[in-house]
Amino acid sequence: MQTESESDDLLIRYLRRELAEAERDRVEEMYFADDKLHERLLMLEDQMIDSYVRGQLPPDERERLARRAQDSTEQRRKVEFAEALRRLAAREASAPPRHAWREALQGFLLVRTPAARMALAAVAVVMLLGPLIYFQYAKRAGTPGRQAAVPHTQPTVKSPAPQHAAPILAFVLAPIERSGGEGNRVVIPVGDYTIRLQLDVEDGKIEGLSAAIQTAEGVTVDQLNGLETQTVGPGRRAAFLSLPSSRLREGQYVVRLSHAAADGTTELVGGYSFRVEQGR
Amino acid sequence: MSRKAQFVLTQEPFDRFLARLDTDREEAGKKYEALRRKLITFFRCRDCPEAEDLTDETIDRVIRKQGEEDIQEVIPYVLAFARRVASEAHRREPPGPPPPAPPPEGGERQLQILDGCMDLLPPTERALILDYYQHEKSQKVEDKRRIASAMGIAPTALRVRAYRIRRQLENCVARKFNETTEGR
Repeated sequence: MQTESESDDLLIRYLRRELAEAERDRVEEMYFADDKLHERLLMLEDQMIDSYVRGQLPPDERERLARRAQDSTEQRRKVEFAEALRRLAAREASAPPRHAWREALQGFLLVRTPAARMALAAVAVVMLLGPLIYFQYAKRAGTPGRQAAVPHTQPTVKSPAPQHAAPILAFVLAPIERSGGEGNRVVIPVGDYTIRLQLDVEDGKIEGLSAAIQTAEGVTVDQLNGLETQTVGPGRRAAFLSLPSSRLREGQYVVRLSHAAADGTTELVGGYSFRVEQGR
Repeated sequence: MSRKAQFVLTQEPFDRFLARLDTDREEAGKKYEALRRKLITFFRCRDCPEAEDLTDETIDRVIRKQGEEDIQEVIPYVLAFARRVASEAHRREPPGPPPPAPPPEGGERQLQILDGCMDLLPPTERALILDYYQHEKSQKVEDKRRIASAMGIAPTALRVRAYRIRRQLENCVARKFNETTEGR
């Protein structure tokens, strides 16, 4: 039985067209009978083409591959693809570092319409001024300001709601424009809780709101439709989401709050992100 | 010139061919796709100019042969037939002067299309493939080890994962490239 490196050596010689006819036929029979070997062959071919586009092949081998790329459409496509991948990776390498979860967030919250961009800007302004206004309003109304009204916060623990056995942990999330997706922490102590998230929304867009909660990898953990909004301050309304803490593991999450427009399209109202951490 | 138009197949012989690959229809479909990919590799490595066309030609001709010959083992039979098709192709089109180089815009289009295909990937896969290929000057083992370690997987598993993402991208680019070419 061949070791992997012996097998690789044979496959590389096959790719370089260096094998005698009998050996070449044997390699063909081997990979036609074995999917994994065929996959391995293609991986080695990718490596060879990558070396070619990086100018790392010896001159004679380089010349042979160049000729094959000219003669064969498929070979040429593979070379062009490898070159495009190399250039794209180089471009990304020279760009500022990005995190996978942040890319997820950016894609998830991609705002394509001017109206939605304005809505997001409005949410950002409201969230910036919101806590101040809210405290003023609460003071005048004689109601205690909640700890949860401060973004990046510790949770407020409330007594259990009638419909839930679990105590409620409430959080206010700053929108993505303000926090850059890094500030909101949702610290969940050990145990079962109902997690209540407050998302401020632009006044007027109060019906037919939907919220999708996703992990940074794009896995939807919850989707809530027909959300009701409540007044949380002068001219301010907020949507509230509730979900069991068991749905949220440690990691980065994004929330997309959207609104069904009159023409049937969905318009992004706000984007939020938060990191779930396990408390003690 | 494409030779595909010379062969017209009906569904029934094709279904019989699939049944030879596997009694389960879904499995048969997967095996058919795997066989097709191997044939493309085969013709490419035999330096045949149009590997995909020759692959289709081989499969079409094997399917036609089903009624005439008693095919015991379908995969070895297909391979043997592919060798014949490769020889015929070389006789038909002996190596001559190379065709003109593709227009320079081809590379730029590939890059644009690849960029679009990248955006279709889940973020973690996008990050993985870019990180994997960013260390272009070094196919350094330690670079791959570092990425694998950060992901909590073995370097071999990383290599396979990167390969599979690359294949997805390559298929996406090929599909979109063909769409834009046909749309012109």
